[in-house]
Amino acid sequence: MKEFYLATTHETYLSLSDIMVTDEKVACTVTVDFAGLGYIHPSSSSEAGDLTVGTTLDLPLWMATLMYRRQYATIQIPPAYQEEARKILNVDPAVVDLRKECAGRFRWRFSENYYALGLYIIPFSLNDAKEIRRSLTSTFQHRFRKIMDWSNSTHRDTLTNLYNRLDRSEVQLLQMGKAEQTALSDWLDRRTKFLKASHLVKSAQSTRAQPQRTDSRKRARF
Amino acid sequence: MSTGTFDPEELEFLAEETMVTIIPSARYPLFYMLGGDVGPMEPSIPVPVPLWLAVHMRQRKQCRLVVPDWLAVEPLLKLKEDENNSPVFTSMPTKHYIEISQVILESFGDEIPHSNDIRRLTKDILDLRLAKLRASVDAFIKGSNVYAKVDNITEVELCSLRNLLTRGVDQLDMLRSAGTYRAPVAAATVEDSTTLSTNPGSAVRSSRLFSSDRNTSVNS
Repeated sequence: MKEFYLATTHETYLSLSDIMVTDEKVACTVTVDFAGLGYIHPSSSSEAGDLTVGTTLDLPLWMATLMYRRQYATIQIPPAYQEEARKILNVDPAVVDLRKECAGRFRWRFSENYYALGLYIIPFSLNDAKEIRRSLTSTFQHRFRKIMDWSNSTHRDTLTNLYNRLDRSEVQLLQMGKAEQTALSDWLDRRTKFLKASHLVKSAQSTRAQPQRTDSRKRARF
Repeated sequence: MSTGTFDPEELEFLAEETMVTIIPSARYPLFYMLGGDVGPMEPSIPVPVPLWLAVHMRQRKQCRLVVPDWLAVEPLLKLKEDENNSPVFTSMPTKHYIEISQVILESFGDEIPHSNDIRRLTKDILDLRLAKLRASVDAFIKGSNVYAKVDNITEVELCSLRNLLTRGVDQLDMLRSAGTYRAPVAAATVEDSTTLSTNPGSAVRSSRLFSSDRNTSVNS
């Protein structure tokens, strides 16, 4: 879980965060009949228990992708990436709470995996892929400044509140920035930690019959 | 935190190799060190030594320090003013200025006049430079430039946001090139789509070389 940021998680088979992203539900419309599969869509009125053409249901992204590739279903772009949401983000990306539900024609919300899911969604959005990409990019560009400022100035206790509003990858960046800033300010206040000898030096010492001091500084006699 | 890059503590260790001048109060023969010979030392004859040796001897009360010229109130005030007036990073007397001042003020603080002012001024200069760094990082992230050139920055300053910046740029690059390496595969055959999905790494790499977004951002 330590390596959460986007570049290492995307499309990595064993990455837990990637599994969580591809587990998000997207709305799909079935384009062929599936005999006997009506039960996975509870409100389906089909008596025969078939999943009929044109049924719309929520599927996890990993399954939706496979169905799309085999031309069994089409994928609807989630509301968080449609024009309405992009307009919200366009106004001021830095204040948008990516985890809160938004009221609209129907209830929807951005995602805590907003960027990662966006990367998966873009290939399916033939018409406005460019717009979604631009929106994702500019959202991140404007929120990055905030992350940088928070990592510089925020007290550790208030950070937890911030985490509830950020995308997972942003949380990861913020924690990383905070750790760096803390290391620097601790050092400036002389709360230094003890430097340890390199692993190589230690193993070289332990393989010797009689351990010698390798540090030339220690050999200077006073 | 193990990041594979330098911590401030490790940078301080490296900065302690800097030569400073001390006035020893004891007599020592020549030291043969890995970094070069040091000494011989005669009482009250100034001699250049590495900073760590100066600290070591100071702890045994065997020397006094000849404080580097730049580590005084007047030169630091000037540095601070220059830094304040300049839109870019100004050149520091040494690239380890903050480490050296930390070590010297910690070990020799009681023999340096106005040591509190000096401590405050070095901290002010660092803060000015860090603010400048954050502002330029923000401009870099928001702009469409593919690289940034920063002169005169020191390692400790980079420490303050190295991981945040590099990983942020990584993420930005992924978002910018999103979709350019995973073409919609609905029209492709199943075999095609499996070869695409089994080898995403190579597709990502080639997209970084040939991304059309990248090219447009260079031109603009």
